[in-house]
Amino acid sequence: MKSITKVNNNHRHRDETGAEEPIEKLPDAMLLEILYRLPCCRRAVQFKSVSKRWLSVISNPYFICRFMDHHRHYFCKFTHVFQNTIDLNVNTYIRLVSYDHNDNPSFKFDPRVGLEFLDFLPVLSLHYPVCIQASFNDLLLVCTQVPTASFYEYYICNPFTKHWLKLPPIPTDGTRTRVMIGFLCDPYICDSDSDSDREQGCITNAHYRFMVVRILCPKENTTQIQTQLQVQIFCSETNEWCNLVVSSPRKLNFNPFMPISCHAGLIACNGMLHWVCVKDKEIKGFVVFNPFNDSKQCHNIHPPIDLSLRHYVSLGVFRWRLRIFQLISFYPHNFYAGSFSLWELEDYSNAGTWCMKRKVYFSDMVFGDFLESAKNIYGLDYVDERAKMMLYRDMTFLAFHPNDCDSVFLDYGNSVQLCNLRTGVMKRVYYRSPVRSQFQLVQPPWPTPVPPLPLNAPSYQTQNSKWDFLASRDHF
Amino acid sequence: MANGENQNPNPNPIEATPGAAARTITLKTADGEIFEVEEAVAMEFGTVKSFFEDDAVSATKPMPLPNVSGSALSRVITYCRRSLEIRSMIPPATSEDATAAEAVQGEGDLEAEKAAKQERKEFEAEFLKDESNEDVKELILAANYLNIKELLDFLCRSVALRIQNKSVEYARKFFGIEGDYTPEEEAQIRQEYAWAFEGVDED
Repeated sequence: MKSITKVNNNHRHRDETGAEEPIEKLPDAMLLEILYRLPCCRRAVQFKSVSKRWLSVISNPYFICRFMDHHRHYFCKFTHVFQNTIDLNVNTYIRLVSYDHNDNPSFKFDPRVGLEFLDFLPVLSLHYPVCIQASFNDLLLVCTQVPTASFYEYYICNPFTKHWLKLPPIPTDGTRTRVMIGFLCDPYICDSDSDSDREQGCITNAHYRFMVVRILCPKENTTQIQTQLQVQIFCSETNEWCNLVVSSPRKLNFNPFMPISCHAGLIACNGMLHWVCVKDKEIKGFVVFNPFNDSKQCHNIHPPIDLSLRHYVSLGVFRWRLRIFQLISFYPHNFYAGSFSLWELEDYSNAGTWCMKRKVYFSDMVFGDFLESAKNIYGLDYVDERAKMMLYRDMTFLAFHPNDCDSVFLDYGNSVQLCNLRTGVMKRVYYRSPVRSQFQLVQPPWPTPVPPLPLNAPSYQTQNSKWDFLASRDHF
Repeated sequence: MANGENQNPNPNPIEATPGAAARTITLKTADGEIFEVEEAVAMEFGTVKSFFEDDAVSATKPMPLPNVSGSALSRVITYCRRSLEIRSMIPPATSEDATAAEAVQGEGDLEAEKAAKQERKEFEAEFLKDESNEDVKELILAANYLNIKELLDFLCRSVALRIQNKSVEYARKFFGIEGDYTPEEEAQIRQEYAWAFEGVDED
């Protein structure tokens, strides 16, 4: 195959500058191409200390964008954070469980530990009542209250990089009003020339805007029909709290404190808050609150056609998509007709387009060591059908597995189970005692900075602004 | 493969039909070496491709490559030629007829793809085996100047692999960089990003 014809076979010249260190000629663009292919962000961050030029290349949001894009199919590390309270509490403590590639849990910290995980937050050394109230990717929203003062303090922190940001205080009203908290992060899309970047909407987590939303429980009967809600919102763009009244679309009840809504929870996805809209104990749809676009008015999307409207649902997020998980059990009549179902929201337009991703009936499931849990809990020598039914009835949804589109973590009081909805296999992950609240931290390929990096160009588009059209139409 | 004797002065070299005698393109490097390269290989170079697309330049005149040395170009040509061969191992996808015929072909295609992947892996490992760090850097610059996406991706990946488990000091040596931080500045960076520096990197 040697058909290169060297017509002029001169003696080889060495490049004149061959004596110099060649890499000085390597343009920043090439350095970037090499460094974003490093498999792990830790090494890339360590290399910030190589030289000031490397610092500037690696700190550039465009570099982070390319890094994240290159790593978008990599396995994301994730951690479950369990907390023994849902309110501010001096005795708050948390437990952490991290997972490896095979979903084996490791208790990185002593399960009995207190809040050492967050001990980089200066406020914790003061032993004020504290509570984790929300999470987003690798960020936590922590609330605390100075005991003698009448205001709450919020911290946004990344427990992996140990960076944190304190929000301005917000006055309490003296009473212990119940609240629901939403933590919205809306990342900016990188301005890029690359075609694949534009398709992906190359999301860099270096720049983002965020909001903390406090929905106050109606003072009267909490399960009353509400068409307006008192809300307090902090916005990173204004850097202040404000009090608002939010209305529901077409005067529908959208009280998130009703039992079915409460059970499903408040879910942040795509920079918007979602919760279940209920009437007469039936699911009517889902409320979509997009305060970045319109902080006075909510929208509504319809439930999937095949959703059972009288059974409880859970809401969650997988990658950037909103999902519904529904457990249906027909105890005591027909156990085997019970099922787990999973839907994903494909599109917000046309009052919501859902797609059922998975449905598995109890009759098709493989229990394996799940039944061991039952024996442990009930002390039964055998597990009869009644025990099975009770198990399914008492199961609650914990989170969608961040790396596996088919699997969900289910919480059954004393144990955490992992269920693959495609294969029907239920696997016990570990035992632990009951908790009051839980969060799933998912580490993106590059850690989310706290605070977000300042924007240089004002022309960035955010991910949320894709949904701006929702504000202008009221056809739901 | 025809060698450089086919000096066909076709003003539109990109109209070469497959199966016809391969036309060659002449390239001249920074140190004066002349290379005659099969057109198919030369068209892998984005720079060369656009040079001949922009104006109907005669193929007889050697295209100057002032930023590439002879040794680098020789290796680049070897890579592109081999890469083309490996790619031709995979039958082209016929998107026009998604019929049963394609389904039947499917498994054969998968096998071919697997074989091609394996070939590529072995070839790439071999390609850089004896290259020094300096050589690799020179290749990167050449691949960038010539705008060869696949080669650039391969080279950058390889360099990243070479430094991924190494220290900051090694990276400095590898790239021939003098650290320009004061001790205080460096300590500050290590403190701000303590999370990246601590513990054993198990990834």
